[in-house]
Amino acid sequence: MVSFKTFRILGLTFSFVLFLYSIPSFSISKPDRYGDYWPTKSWRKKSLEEAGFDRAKFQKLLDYVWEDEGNHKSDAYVVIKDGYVVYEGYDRGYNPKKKHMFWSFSKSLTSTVIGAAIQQGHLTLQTKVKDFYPEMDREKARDVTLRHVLNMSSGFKFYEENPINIALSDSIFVYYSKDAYKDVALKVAKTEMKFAPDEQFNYGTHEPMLAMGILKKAINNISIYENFPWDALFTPLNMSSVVYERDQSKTFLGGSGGWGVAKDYAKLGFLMLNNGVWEGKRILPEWWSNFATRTVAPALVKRESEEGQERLNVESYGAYWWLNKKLKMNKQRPYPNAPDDLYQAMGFRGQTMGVIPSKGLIIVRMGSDGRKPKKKLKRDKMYKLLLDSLVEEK
Amino acid sequence: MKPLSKTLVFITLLGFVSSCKYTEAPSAGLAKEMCSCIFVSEQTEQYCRMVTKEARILSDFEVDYNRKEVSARGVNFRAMAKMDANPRYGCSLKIVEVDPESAKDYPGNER
Repeated sequence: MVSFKTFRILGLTFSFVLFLYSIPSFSISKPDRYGDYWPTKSWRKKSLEEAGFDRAKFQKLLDYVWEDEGNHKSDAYVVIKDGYVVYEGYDRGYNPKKKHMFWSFSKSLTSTVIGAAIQQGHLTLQTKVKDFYPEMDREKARDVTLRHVLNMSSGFKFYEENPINIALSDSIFVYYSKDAYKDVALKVAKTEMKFAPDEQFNYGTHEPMLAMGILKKAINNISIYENFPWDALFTPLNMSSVVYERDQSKTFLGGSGGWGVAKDYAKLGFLMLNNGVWEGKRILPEWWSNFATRTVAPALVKRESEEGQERLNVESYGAYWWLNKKLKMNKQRPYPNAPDDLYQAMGFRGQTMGVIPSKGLIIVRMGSDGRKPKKKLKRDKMYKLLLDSLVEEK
Repeated sequence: MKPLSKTLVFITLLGFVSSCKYTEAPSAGLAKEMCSCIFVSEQTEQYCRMVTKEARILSDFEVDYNRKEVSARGVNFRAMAKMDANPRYGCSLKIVEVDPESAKDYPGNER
């Protein structure tokens, strides 16, 4: 006979397990909507109608993406619904095999490489940077961890884009100056600190550069390190087009320097939709998707930050992924026409990969937009037109 | 771009760059971007010239298709970006200081 105590313990255990599975980071393995399907060799295709789109409305989206009035310049556009490619188009000399520059798309790629390194035990979020870069053993810098680096919140004095003089941008110097280009991560580690970790969010190329330097030192074997992104991520996903550039010290550049084709990049989105599992194998930690694509960087939600402290950027951000969460200091979400579970990889000249888990959507847009606002694709308008055309789930 | 506009852009950029302690950055960036554009993306030189037109106002470049290398010359240095033997690593940059006297022998500094 089962005693009341045993019954209570069983009940509590059952409740605890239910609680764990109610948390996004635990309710993993694989959402049922994708079935047992992996686009490792190639993406499956569906017609717009089969996937639940209104063709006439979808055409309005295409008219905007490919408009040829001297405004934005789209090079590749791919829409994937529930794992099926429903549209792909190319222009301006690009095709399914022509590699496009990722620009800061590379940051989200780097995020995923670091996630794979954590899964394999090379790093933890609590890894202290000074353990690998003694240059960081100084005031404000000594408590910086990998988590701060991934949240763009280490506190370096770094101006990604100088608002007055673009030629003075730190993002240019760190790549192209003679005292930095040989070992860009070391240059970042020596950079002056302006804030304590988590005190200020500051988007920049420097943090993913440092992340890839930390990984190199953590692996401490150049042969393993230089193969790691392929062994851990690109090869299992068959992202065969990806080029991932390095500096003279063979450190991956991390913040930029990635190249590839749109449908290969979309596989990153599908990996995240599947919470870091590919072909039944866990590539990323169970909690990684939640951390990187659903949790706003703590520096962006700190109370003191919301009360008028100097801000360099007010868009919500996770770990090298842009989020669509409304922050308290903002009146609305960054992309009000898209749901708040949207997360994006974004880069210079209009590079965009949007992932909307609630709709099973992945959108990759590669472009060569200009710098002026009127020369850029309006992402919110693109999402509005896209979601307007999706009749199935309205 | 009209000649007057081009001159104004040149003077403006020259002012920007001369105010900067890293004068090699524009040429280094040009060499690297051209190398990746031509040898990684496999675009035509004509296309790559179009996408790097802002950087080329201050410097020009030379492509060595056999060595898969792009060079750009600055005041007292030369920036070279070379495609890695393993194409998955793309192009990497190298900056070397050179004798200013030899600058006139380099194509990018003739004008």
